[in-house]
Amino acid sequence: MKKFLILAVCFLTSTFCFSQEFTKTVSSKVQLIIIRDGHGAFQIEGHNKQEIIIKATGIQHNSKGKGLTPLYSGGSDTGIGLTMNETGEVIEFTGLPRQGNQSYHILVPENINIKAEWRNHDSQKLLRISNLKSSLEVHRINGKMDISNITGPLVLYSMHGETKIRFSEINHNRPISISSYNADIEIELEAATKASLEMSSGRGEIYTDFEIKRTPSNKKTEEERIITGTINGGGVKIILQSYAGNFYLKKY
Amino acid sequence: MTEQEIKILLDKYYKGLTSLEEEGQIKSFFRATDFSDELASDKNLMSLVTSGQAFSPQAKFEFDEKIKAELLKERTDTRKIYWQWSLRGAAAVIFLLASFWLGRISSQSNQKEYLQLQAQVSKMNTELIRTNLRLTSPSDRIKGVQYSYELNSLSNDIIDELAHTLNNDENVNVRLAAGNALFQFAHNEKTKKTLIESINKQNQHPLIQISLINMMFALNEKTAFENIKEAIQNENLPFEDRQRIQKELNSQSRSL
Repeated sequence: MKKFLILAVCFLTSTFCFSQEFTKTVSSKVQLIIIRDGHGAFQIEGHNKQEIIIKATGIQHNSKGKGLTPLYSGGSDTGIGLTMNETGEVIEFTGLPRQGNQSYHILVPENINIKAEWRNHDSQKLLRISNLKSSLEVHRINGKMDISNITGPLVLYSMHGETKIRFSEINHNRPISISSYNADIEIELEAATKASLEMSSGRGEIYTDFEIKRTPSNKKTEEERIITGTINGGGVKIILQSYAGNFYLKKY
Repeated sequence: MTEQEIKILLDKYYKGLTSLEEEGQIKSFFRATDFSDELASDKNLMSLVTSGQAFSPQAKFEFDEKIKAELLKERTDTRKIYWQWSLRGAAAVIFLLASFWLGRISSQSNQKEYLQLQAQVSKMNTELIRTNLRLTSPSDRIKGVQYSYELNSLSNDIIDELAHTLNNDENVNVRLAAGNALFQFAHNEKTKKTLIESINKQNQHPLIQISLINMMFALNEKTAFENIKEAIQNENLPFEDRQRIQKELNSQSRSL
């Protein structure tokens, strides 16, 4: 018991946990917000305000670093386990290393393009993204993803993390590209979505409840397992490619 | 919206930085506003390129058919084609392409001119590939790569462009698209060499690496075997997949 109390006191003198909020007004020239390598669970949500609001809970704030510059991560320390860099049209948040079991709820302007990039293997926590009317780029190695109410264009890669994506109305003609190494990916589209599909999974399966009008592919793929076709007469290009994951293309 | 404001939005569009709402504003502007000749090429770009219809297989087929039809009409005018090497240039190119649809084409040697026009379309697609690969949006870069499917063959500089994309693009899906596009032309020695050399440049990207390896297995390409052996050492590839590759490598080596 005595040991425990000593450890607890030592811990509390160097770090302390608390909830915190960070707010930044976004100027009209900003076109892209990048969120990179954060630790913990993340929820990125679009809203109709021209500001970024980050609500963080479970932060273990390292008081030793207060007022200092993190040289590896760069930028300015927001005090909530993320650094921030702003360069003209881009605002970038990067996770500081050795963070604890925190979670973030990040509100972003719904019409600004978002890039969410986790290139480290140790991020296992759920990533949620929702309510975006802008271009979305996602790269993740591990950890589940739940993405909903987005229009795209979406360019997403999940190496191992099971991913669920639900599109709202797709009102653009830029390609949507979704790939995985061996992650299963579930994609939900409005039943009336007009799309031209190009799908392949080398060692996985592709399931759908859409009526696909198959079109012969003149493309070569390494294992000749490409499926091309249209739904509702064709439209936005949707490219799905996996090495060993399954795709579940569903209508709602 | 003023022309000055639309020019700012168009600049953002050509950088791939516009939101869907802003693209809607651009389209609305061209639908509803009188504008100066200076913006005519931009209008054509917006109506053709952003619609995604410009060089889709169906659009290309329709375009070819229109060209054929116009050749048969024996009209007697020609238009010059000029090339600009910037994003704005692409807009002008599309404008010229659209102008062909109205057709003013010499009747003297229809077949020859048709072939020339096909070559010009190919050149336009080449320019669109080059242009789109420089845009910041990965979706636009994928679109750029896909224009290569409309080509009958790849020029050396487009192979180099796609190779650069395959090896250096920061987005996995764009790299993957470039690899798939190059594979369509793997009968070309330069293209095949590009794919082989890329295998061990993808150690951080297992999906692309294993895709390239499987392409080489599909081609039964022995000259890639040393590169594949090296790739098997890449610990970013899951162990069981490295075993599977080794097994396939042994099988194909025995058949030498």
